Amino acid sequence: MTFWPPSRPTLIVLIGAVLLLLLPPIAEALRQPFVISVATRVVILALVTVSLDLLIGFGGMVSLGHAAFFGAGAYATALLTQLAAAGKPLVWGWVPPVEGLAVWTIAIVVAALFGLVIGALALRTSGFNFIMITLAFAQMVLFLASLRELGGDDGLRIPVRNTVVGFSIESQTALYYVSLVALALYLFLCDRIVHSRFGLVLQAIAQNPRRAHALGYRVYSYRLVTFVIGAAGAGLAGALIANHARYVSPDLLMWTRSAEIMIMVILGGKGTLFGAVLGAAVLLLLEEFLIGLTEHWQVILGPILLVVVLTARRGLFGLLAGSRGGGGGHG
Amino acid sequence: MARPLLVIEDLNKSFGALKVTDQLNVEVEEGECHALIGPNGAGKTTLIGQLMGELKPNRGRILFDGHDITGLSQARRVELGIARSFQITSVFLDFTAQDNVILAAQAAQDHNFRFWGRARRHPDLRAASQRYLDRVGLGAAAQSRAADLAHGALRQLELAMALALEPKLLLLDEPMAGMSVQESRTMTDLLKSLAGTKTMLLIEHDMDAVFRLADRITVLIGGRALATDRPDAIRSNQDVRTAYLGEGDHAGA
Repeated sequence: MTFWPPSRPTLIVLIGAVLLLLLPPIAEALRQPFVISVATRVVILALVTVSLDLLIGFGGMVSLGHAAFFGAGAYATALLTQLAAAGKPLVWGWVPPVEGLAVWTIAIVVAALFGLVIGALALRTSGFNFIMITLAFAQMVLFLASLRELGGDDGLRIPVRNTVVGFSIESQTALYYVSLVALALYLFLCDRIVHSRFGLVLQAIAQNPRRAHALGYRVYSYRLVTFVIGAAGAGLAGALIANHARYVSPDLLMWTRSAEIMIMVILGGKGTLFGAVLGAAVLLLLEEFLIGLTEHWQVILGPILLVVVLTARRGLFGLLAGSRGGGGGHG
Repeated sequence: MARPLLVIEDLNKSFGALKVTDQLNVEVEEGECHALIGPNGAGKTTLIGQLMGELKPNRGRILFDGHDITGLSQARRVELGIARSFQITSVFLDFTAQDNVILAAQAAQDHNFRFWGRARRHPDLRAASQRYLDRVGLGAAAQSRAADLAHGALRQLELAMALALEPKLLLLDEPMAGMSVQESRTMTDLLKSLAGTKTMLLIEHDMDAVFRLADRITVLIGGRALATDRPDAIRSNQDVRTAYLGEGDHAGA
């Protein structure tokens, strides 16, 4: 593969990256600063969508509980940041720092641990049972988040945003760029993974687990490691959304959220990674637009999703990049 | 000649009242092609399942290369050097023929928790893949998607994957299944060329192929070994003729 001229999928990714990079100055110039806030949300949800695409599109693991990890990351961030702002210790007199690199790392680890436990149990099943078990576990995590100690249904307010390497991200633009960097790093990581030896085995397992077994691969381990990497990505997105809203609530962990993320994966094109960004952007913007139009916006959204799912095998990214396009293609 | 590579000792497996493996004793010597024949339902494929670790026997032991592998996982057995091909073609259909064999070749190297380098560009893996594809006569189809390959070619791919694991023992579950006469002959020649270098346990209904390839034959009926002997002795064995060969229309060769 040569880098010039770029292939069509590469070109689309490049154009998307440039648009995302230039978005804040353009929004400022047009005096529409709220656009930056919406775009931040899009970028953060794109991150969690990429992490689910890794599971669904490459690992063949259709998880309907992904919001649990998103929520775990968000709640971990909120709790630590509250304590940090109040100068109160978490355990053993240790007061958490406000620094995001520390807090978010912990949030990622927490989400990954949830992923490890839930994955270890859920991956003993497959197919329909797997979908149901991930959903059931996510409901349990939702229950945890609804405990009065964690703010109950009212959730937790976060007095300050985290800092990043000491810099404030109180401005919308700063948080936007930080989120964009997080998305880019995670996308890069996933793109490397799916083309690595590990990723090749992972995709083989999704196609034909019995054959993968017969080649001597420990199918369960490959799936579990991937599940944890996906949970970690969702945890990072959770940390960012907590900063964005300065507020977390059980709403973040509802099963409808898991379903929404899955719809974003399918809309963007499963197994394309970059399509996840497109899926998140289109679904969120469509929602914003349709809500402004009518309160029965779902009546319009439903058929649009149906058309995309029925006409584009690899979703919107497939439509743009050609049917063979995508990060997970045969490159 | 050589020491036994695979020893099946008093193996028993039943599903409810149905005995699929019944006090079975078989030894496969190093370097030989040992054929397993018998009518449908004789328990051939379930035996492969037990040898690979997909099925757990109710009683008995399986020894391979000096290890008792009866309780080992499938992955451990493959590491020790057992590879199988499937009766019903089982490959990775969305991948190219080359990728299919790369997956087998990298399984043989056993350090696959690598998340960074691009597997498909790895020169050693590509070279190994091409070597095995050439070996089975599929070299020209390396870049074809497996889903686009014809039945005969898929059977060859199946064998290339098993070979790329560089096993000590090849379990071949009806490699000629569904092949045309011509394809079947090509496959037989291919397996013949492996004779002496690879130990093979061959399940096959094509008796021409079995008598051409096998050094020894075990006749399996109702999960039991009726006889184990050299092909000419099997052909003239009266019990075997009555129970199996004489009945069918395969006997002529």
